[in-house]
Parts: sequence; structure tokens; C-alpha cells
Amino acid sequence: MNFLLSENNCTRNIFVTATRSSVLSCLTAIWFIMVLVFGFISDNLLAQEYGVLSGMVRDAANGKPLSGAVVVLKDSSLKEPSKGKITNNNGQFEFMNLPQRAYIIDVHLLGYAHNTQRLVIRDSIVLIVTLKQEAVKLAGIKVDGQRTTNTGSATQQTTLISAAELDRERGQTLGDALKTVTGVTLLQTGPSIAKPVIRGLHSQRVLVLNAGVAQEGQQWGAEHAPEIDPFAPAQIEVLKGAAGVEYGMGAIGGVVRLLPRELPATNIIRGEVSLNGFTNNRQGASSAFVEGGTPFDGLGWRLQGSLRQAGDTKTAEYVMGNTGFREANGSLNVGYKRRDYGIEAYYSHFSTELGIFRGSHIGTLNDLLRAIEYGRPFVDYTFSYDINPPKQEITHDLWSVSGFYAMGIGRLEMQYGWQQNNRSEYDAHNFRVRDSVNLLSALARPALGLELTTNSLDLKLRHTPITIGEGTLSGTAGMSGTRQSNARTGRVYLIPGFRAYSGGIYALENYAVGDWLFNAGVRFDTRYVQIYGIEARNLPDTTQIFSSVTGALGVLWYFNGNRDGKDSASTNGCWSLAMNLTSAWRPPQVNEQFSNDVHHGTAQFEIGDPNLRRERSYAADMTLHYNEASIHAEFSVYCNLINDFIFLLPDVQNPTVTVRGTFPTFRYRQAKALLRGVETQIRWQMFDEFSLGGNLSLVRGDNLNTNEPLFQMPADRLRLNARWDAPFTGTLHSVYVELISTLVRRQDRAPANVDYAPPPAGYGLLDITFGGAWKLWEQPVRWNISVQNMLNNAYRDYLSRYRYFTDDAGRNIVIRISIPFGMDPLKAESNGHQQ
Amino acid sequence: MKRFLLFGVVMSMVSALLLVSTGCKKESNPADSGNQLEEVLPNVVTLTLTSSNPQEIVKAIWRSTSTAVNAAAVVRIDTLRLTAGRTYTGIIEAQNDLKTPIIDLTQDYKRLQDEHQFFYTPTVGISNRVTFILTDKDSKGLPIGLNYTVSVSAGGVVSGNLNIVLGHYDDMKKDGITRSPESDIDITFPVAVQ
Repeated sequence: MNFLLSENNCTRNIFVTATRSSVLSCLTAIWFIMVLVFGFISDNLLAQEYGVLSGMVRDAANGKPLSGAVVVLKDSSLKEPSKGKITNNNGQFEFMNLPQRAYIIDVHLLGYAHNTQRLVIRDSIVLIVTLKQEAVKLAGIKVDGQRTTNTGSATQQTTLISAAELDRERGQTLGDALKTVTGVTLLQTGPSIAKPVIRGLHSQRVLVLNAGVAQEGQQWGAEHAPEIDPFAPAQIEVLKGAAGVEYGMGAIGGVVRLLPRELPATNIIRGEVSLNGFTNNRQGASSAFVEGGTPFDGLGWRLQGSLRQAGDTKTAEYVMGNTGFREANGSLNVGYKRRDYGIEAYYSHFSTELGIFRGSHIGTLNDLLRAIEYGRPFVDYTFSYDINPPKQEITHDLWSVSGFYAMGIGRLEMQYGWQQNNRSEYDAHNFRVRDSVNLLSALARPALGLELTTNSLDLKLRHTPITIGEGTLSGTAGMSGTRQSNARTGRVYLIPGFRAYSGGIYALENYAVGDWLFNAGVRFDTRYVQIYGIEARNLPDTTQIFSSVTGALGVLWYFNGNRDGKDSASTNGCWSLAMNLTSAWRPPQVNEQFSNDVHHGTAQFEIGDPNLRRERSYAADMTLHYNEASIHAEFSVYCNLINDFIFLLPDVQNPTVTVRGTFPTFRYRQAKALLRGVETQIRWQMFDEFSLGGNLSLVRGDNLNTNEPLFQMPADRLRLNARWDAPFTGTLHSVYVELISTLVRRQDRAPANVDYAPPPAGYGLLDITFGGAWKLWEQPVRWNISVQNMLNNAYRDYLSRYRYFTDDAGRNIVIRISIPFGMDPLKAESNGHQQ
Repeated sequence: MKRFLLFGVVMSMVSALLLVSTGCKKESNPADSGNQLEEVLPNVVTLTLTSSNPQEIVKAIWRSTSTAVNAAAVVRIDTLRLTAGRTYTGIIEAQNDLKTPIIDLTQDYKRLQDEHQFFYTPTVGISNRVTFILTDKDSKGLPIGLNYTVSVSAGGVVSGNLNIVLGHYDDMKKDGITRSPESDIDITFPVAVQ
């Protein structure tokens, strides 16, 4: 462990002093050697043909055994009929004589969310499954896309391929995995910057929760991506629609929850090495984690690190100069957990250096118009790993400590988080500095430097369920507070320095009765901001206070199904209908109020309005769900009326005249906006080995004051996939081939006089993935090869911020390998609980 | 209850530890904006045209009251008045007169002459009457445009515009003809030929 620690420090140093690829490969080799060593230690030759699965089902909130829960075990290759068991009075279940292969285990109980996992049965497995009450489910519509995990609770069980779905999609940024979710698109600035857009909303309107702590970077910037290591989360959960009651003000678009692996509780040691290669930008990425328990039951630890280096991305026809990036990340996690109490500490460090496409660095509006007219970069770049100005350097450090204590009245949870985000954006040149020594030191100083520090404290009590009449009432009450301070340096005035304090208090209750589940929540938040004035922009010191209430109502109804658990192995379909009404709000952000400068790359002069009011959203959504053995289908409709929606409006009468030419002036304004949309997804297991799937998302956004469409709404998108699972068992298993086609229509709903170029044409992309697992040293080594944009199409996405200058990325072949090592994980007790 | 107390004690101890450890990490004061590395942009561009026979000096000034981009800035733009049939020798100067002392950026363009070139483009109406020829050369023998001649052909009264762009060459190699993708100056003077 010492060895690893020093290695981790070393990675950071390298990063600071400009990473060399040779060092990268050296570290990768060290990891490889570790794999070999641990692999041999773990060599376990006790193979049997049949296995036993036994376990226990518990309530995630209070750890109590749950009797009457239905445990269904499905052979994932559908060779065997499904088996079902019901837990006894002690919450226990047992399956004997199971053929050794991959299964899907689904556990459910009325009033609790389904917990579905993939599981490979070998000799004997003890599984502890926790079920989470439907509370969270109703806060928004939970989406699981094409994934096999329907995570009401994101259980991290000791299964061998539990993270396989994320493994398969893991890409260069966090966004690559997110875009497979229906209704989620990406606002992209080149290959290295991708922000999730949920139902047409993004940036401050989407909350990213990293290990339970709300990620606070400079979310307002369209070219500021979430500072997250794509390798770190074991599972990702996307909540679409306002989820403000549990997560506070602001998240009127949705929530992305990144769930780390659960710490081991028993005395084992294990880990995994993942290696990814991308041909398009000749990128190499490696990640490894080691985790273990201790002789003290419940005390566990984990160390994780990753490195990534990428060169310039190629479109179908040319190289995008200066789009390389490199990342070095690490995290450390230590926790002690018993049934009734636990404490966990987490630290993560993220650092990236990324180039901004040279061709998007322009001086004047005419430069931009000439670039659009030319249709491709003026300069023919050659491939390079070099990262030159303009560029961004970002680090993000997060410390958190969380604990829980179960007592008579319920479960008390606390989380404290400290995070600091350091963002430096560098300009290409500054010719005022005369001698070359001073010029270098001047260029080493960012044109925009921002340091954002956030302290947050969350306290909640999940009370013990109370029986009322025929049903059960369960719920959570909590409060949270944050203190934030933002310091700026540099000559770009996009946001001022500020200090902000916010506090919130909430309660959320669920009542489950029969086939019905009702949910109601209310929350009050207040935010105090102290703005530090900027003399150069005539901005005086200002203080502001925003306060308001968030409310949510929901209902979930199961019908025509077998929810009573008496006919567990039945293949009858199960329908459910969920409806939500929410009203959430968002205070205006400092950039919307005090921005006063030209935004590079968009050549627009943005002026904030200090008198902006808060945004208020009234949202309604409805989801119809159908589930049976071979068909899974989901259909959602939603509408979101936002009063005082904040957006940039061009001020055509007052262009900004400068020595650099005339820039269009944009002012932050407010209007009544209406967003609505339809999302549908279906998956059909046609034969044992073959399935078809499709998902469609349509979003419409309008400014109701002017009856014009809103700018930058995602275009209509259809994704179709066909998957064949080979019936191989043995050394090579879980082999599959998947063909994915993404069709995006041209966005024909764009406002007039806002954009410089019309929305780009629609496009279609074809991807193919071939993957599987290979048993090596008794460990399933997972691998896949994926060809993205197989036909090497030249295209531009409407939400790509480089679309004025360049096409999007061309063909890319991705190779991914994940090698687990260590003590046989299946022998360990798994714990499905997740905070 | 005992355990609950223990839990509370442990939680507060760990939090305190965390606060201490993070307290060591610097949190900058937001009130202090730190060092401001101001990139000095010109706010005044002056054209000075001299004709020797007959003796005549023509000046045209483009001036904004703000160095930075600022929507509230007041802009003064002179009309460049030329006489038909004459040839002028011209220079261009760029300054920032809002700073004390005044900063002359012309020197910087001269110093970084291999990465800069001025482009003078008379628009329709005068393009067939007014001709600019760059007369200075950088270290590679390519034009810079700080010095030029203007010939106005004989004829009647016309008016139009003169667009002046200062191209900044970084990735693109300066060839003396092609405009760079990035511009440092982009202004337009009205022109009247008498």
C-alpha cells in the first residue's frame, strides 16, 4: 500500500511537470506487474460445476431483514427457466444446485425499488441485498437505459461483472457513458469537454453528485465540464426532471449521481486494472484500484488512480489542432461500517490539462464569420500530443467524511464535504510583454483564473417506517448548508469574486399501500451572496439574498402485475405508471448577473443583469413502464414551465464597437419558457441470444414571451441497437456483438438572429462493439473492441460548440480491457447497501 | 445511547481533523482579485497621410473611450478625406491613450513584425479609385503595412469605406497575401474622395 501511495504522489508530480508518455507507459507496466503478482496469488483452481447462492435481504435504511421479498434468478443467456424464492422470516433465501454461469438476480418487495444485478455463480456465494424504499424513485423518474441494473439502490455487490455495463461504454469523458441514456445529450466543446444536457437543460440546472457531495466547479461555463475521472464511478444514476427536494435548489433539470464502489467489509484484498486505447487521438488511459478489508470486521479501504494522455483528434478529413489533453486522478477511501453505524472518509484529486482547438481562437466577429464561410480550419494541422495555449488547466480536490447511525427512530446520516476547484484558462498570446523571458512568465499566468472553495454539511434522518392503516409511511427529513468562496485573477471579467452561504431544510414522505405509492416533499432554501466589486468594470460591492420553497408530489401505481410476490417466477408482464408534479427554483448565478466581457470562441459580448429574479419551474411528468421476461418498455412525457427563465438575448440595437471590430451584444434576460418532450425506450429479447433495442428522445423548448424556439435545444435523436450474445461458456464467455446506430435530425427549431450559422444538417452514425470475458487465472478479464463512427462520417452536432469551425470526430477504434485481481471476490460477503 | 454519543464524538473528531487539514490548504480571499495581467489593447488608431506635391497632411482618427470591449464606450470615427489625382505616403499608429503614460503599440507591431500584417481594403465605390501599396518589409521580406502609399486616381466625387485589419499569425505562416484566421484590429473608416 505504501508502494501505491508513493506511486500516486508521483503521478501527480509528473502531471505538474508535463507528463511524458514514457513515464505513463512505465507506470502502466508497474500496474501490469501488480496484476500478475496478485493474479498468481489469487490463483484458485477449485472449479465446480454447480454452485450455491444464499443470502439475505435487508432494508437499506435500517438494515432490518425483509421477509416476503421476491428473489428471481434469471439465467442471463436464457438457457434455464427462471427460479424464484421468497425470503423467510429472517429475510433469508437459498438456491441450491445452480449451474455455474451468469445470472441476473432481481429482488423486489412492495414499497421498495427493484434491485437487479448481474451475477456469476461459481461454487458458493453469500449475498446480502439491500432494498431501498421507493422514496428516491418518486423524486424523479429513474432511468436505467439499456442497462441490466435497475438501480433503486446502486448496490455494489461482489459480483464479477457488476460494472460491466459502464465498462462497455466508458470513454474519454464522463459524458460518453451518459449519452447512452435516453433524454441525455452532450454539450460538447471538442473531444475533452462534454457536459450532460438533461431534457434540454444543462450547466447550473443539472446537479452532479460525486460520492454523495454536490460537485461545485464553475458549472456556469458551457466549456467547463464536470471535473470527474471517468474511471472513478462504479455506477452512474441519472435522475431526469427536477429533483430539488432531496438535492436542493438549482437542480431543475436533473441529477447525475456517481456512485463509487462499496468498500469491502471482510479481510480480503482485491482490485482491478483497466486499460483503454483510442485510435482517433492516439489516446492511452489506464486506471487501477486496490481495495481490501482488515482483520477488523467492517474496516475497509481502497486506493484508486488513473492516467490518461490524448493527442489531437481527427475529424473525417482533417486534424483538429491543439485538442490533446492529459489527466491524472486518484482517490483514497477508508471506512468502518457495522450494521448500525459506520463512518467513511473519501479523498479524490482530479487534474487535467486540455488544449482548446486552435482554429476556434479568433479575435473578431469577422474572423468567426470567415471561419464559418471557409467551412474547415484555415490551417492544416498535423497530429501532435502537444498542448499549447489556448488551454485550460483544472484541478479539483474533494474531501468528504460521512457517517450513519441507526437508532430506534430511524437512521441518522451526516456528510461533510470540502472541495476546491482551480481553473486556469490561458490565452494564446500577450504581445505587450517585450522580452522573451517575461513573455514566457506572462503566458504562464492565466487570462482567467478562478478558485472556488466549497464546504458543505448535510444531515438527514430516515425515520423508521410507521404503519398507518393498511399501508406504511416512510420518509426522510434533513438539512444542509454550504459556504462557498470564489476568488478570481486575470484580465477576463466573466465572473467576480464572491462569497455565498446557503442553507436548506426539507422533509420527504412516502406512503405505500396496496399497489399504490404516494410521495410528497417540501423544502425551503436560502442563499446569501456577497459580491466583491471590480473597479475596472464599475461594479460595486453587492449583497443579495434569495429564498424560496420547493415542493414535489408523486404517485406510482402497479397494475396488471404480480407485485404481491406469490407468483414469483411468473412471466406475466408488469405495468406501472408514475406521475410527478414538482415546483423547483434556481437563484440567478453570478455570471448571469455580473458577466461583462467577450466570451472567447463565441465572439459575443455578454452582459449580466444584477437585478435578475430567481427562476421558478413548474414541471409535470408521467412514465409508463412495462416489464416482462423478454420485453422492457418505457414511455415518458414531460413538460416544464419555467417562469423567469434566464437566457442570453442579443441586443441588436447596441452592438459593441471596439478596435477589434463590432461584436454583437448579448444580455442576460428573463422570459417565460416552456420545455416539453417525449422519451421512449424499448428492449426486446427476440431469441435467447438476440435482442433489439431502441430509444427516442424529442425535446421542444419555446420562449413564450416571443413565441420563438429557445436556443441550443437538443435535436431529435433516435438510437437503435441489435445485440447478439454468444452462447459460449468456459474460458471465453459472455461474448457479444452489438451494433448501434444513432440518428440525429437537423434542429429546425432555432431562434432567428441569435446564431451566426444555421443549425447543421442531421446525421447518422454507426458503431459496432465486440466484447466478452476471458477467464485468466480464474479471473474474468473483460475486454471489448468498439468502432465508433464506423463509416467515418463528417458531421457537426448542433450542440457542439466547435461547429462553427470544425466537424466532429471521425472514426475511432476503442479497445478496453479490465483485469480483476486478488482474493476471490465471490467468497466475500457482499453488501448491497449504498449511501 | 452510549454508542450514539461515541458516534457523535468520532464524527466531530474526524470533521475537526478534516477542517484542520483542509485549513492548511490555501483558500484565497475573494475580495482580493489578485494580480491583474492586463493585455493592453489599443483604443486609438491614427492614419497620417502626406502628399508632397502639393503639400498636404490628412489625418483620420478612430478612437474608443474604452480599451476593453465595453458596450458603453463612445466611439469617434473620422472620415478620411482624400483628393482625387494625388498620391500619399501613409503611416498607421495604434495607441492606448487611456493609460498614463500613453502606450504606443505601434512599436510592438514593429517588434513582432513577422507575426503581423495590416490589410487595407477599400470597399465598393472607391475600390477602383483608391489603391494601397504596403512599402515596409519584415525580416523575411514580407510586407508589414505600418508604412504604405495611397494613390487616388483622377475622377469625380465618390465615397465609400476603408476597412483596416491587423492580422495576427500564429499557426498560419505569414505569406504576405493571405489573411490570418485571427485579427487584432478590425476597424472601418468612411472615405470621401473630393
